[in-house]
Amino acid sequence: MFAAIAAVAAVAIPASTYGQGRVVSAAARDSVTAIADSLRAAGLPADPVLAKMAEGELKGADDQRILRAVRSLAHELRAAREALTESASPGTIVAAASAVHVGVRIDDVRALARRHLVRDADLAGALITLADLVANGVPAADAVQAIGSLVAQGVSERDLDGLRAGVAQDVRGGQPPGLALRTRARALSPRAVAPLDDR
Amino acid sequence: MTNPARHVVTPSLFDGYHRTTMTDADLVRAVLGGDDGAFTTLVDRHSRMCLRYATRMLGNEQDAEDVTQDAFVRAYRALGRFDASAEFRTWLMTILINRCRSAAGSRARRDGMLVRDDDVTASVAANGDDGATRDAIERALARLEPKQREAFLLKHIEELSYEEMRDATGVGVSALKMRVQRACERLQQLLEDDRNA
Amino acid sequence: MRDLDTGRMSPELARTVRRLRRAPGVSDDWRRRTLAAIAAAGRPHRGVEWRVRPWMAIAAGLSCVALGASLFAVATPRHARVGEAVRATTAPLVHFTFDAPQARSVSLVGDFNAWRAGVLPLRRSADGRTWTVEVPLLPGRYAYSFVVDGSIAPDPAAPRATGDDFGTPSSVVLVRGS
Repeated sequence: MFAAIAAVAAVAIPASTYGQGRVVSAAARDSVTAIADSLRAAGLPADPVLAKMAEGELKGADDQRILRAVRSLAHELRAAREALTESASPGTIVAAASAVHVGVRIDDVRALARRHLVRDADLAGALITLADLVANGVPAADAVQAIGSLVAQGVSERDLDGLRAGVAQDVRGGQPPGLALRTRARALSPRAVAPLDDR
Repeated sequence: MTNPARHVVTPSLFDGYHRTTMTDADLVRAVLGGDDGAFTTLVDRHSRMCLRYATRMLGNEQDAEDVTQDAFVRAYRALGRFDASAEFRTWLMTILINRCRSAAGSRARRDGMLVRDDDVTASVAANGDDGATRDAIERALARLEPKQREAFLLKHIEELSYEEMRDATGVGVSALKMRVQRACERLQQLLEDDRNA
Repeated sequence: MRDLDTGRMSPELARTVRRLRRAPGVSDDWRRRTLAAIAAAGRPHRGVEWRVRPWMAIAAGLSCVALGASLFAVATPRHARVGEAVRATTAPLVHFTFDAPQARSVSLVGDFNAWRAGVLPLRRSADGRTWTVEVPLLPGRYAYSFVVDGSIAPDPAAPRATGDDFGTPSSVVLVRGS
């Protein structure tokens, strides 16, 4: 199993040793702290930017790269906050930020949060699935439409995760991402994916 | 894959309330008797004090968090060797003082000097303070010799008795009193210099 | 030698002391990481009770530093009871698994432990093929990875984290509230 994983890793994922971990400069840390403070003051979760800095340190990234990642994340958290309802939990805000990061439109996040009366916990799961699908190459519009439809129909978290894992597997096997999604989503629900000429 | 054997622990709404009324000694006995949630209560009870000391001693919030976390884990693991008739707080402070000394030593080896002024951050919340005053205090504190800073913090901030300080640091009472007095004199001087600068 | 108590301090020094006595807040993140590290530590053993002698504690601490020993480096067997009790007061246990029969060590890094390698070691299964750890996590979304013999690897079974991964992809786990 490890050999198989290593083979996949060698193709798709560059190995990285953590021995090159470093500590950011005091100035960079102050900048990140200031960003975290401003997020906190805005009622947004601040821990994600601190975690992003720690991640960058472990992976040996330089100060500039870490600061860019932190600023980008802060911007996405603010955008996500605007798109979600007031009752959105910190986890859902972070999940929405990840969807925004990969290119899901704010309006689509807003629609997903509001139109389907979805529970906060289910919304977070849907947003993570959405972000993963788009990160795997599924066109954002297709992913939004499919996930929105599945959530509205009350598809379980387990089925959504199965869909996500299945699409990822199909893409690794060479299938076009959009086709992989359509196939898997239709298997869950024939209504999940609109016919091409309706979009 | 095998699942670990599950011991059923029925959470009780009253458990949390009950634990907050228990003494440290009772909580330690409870942990050793199998109630690990009691250690969570000990963490909650002492973490602010530990973080305060570590932050003041090391001058850096991140280092303080690491060191304090480490101290609690070591305390948990060593709990079986703690004499419940002693003060848990003093015992915990002993561990924390050690960890701070180690952290400062590691940083000195890494940075080439014991204290760096630019390591003193203004990240510790101090309600009602203006930033400039807080920075002046932290700068002055950072400029104390570590032994004096340690003694000053234990005596005047953590408010340990000299006997407790002796038990926690291994330093005699006379020497501790000398360090505290010198720390106060030096701090006074540093604050004046800062004000006049 | 007279000690200088607060009452005999200069007003400025006394003000300084009062300010320094104000304790910082305890962040949820620190608390969560600390309780997770405690839950991952070996259970305390009831040993011979002895009163702490400072020189013993200091010597023990110095020897630990000298040997480079770490409480977190050894993959000790997890005790479900510890996790259960922590969960009863704090957070649900989340089970992490990684298949790596050839590995010598596997640990978990992520948002919940400030990406510190070695803090959350996984333990090897009886058949030697799988590594596991259970971590109490409050509901939320966490990015994480495994460190396998010094190399960072994402979880092949989990969704990928988006955002700058600094060249090494991470995974995401969503912990649901009850």
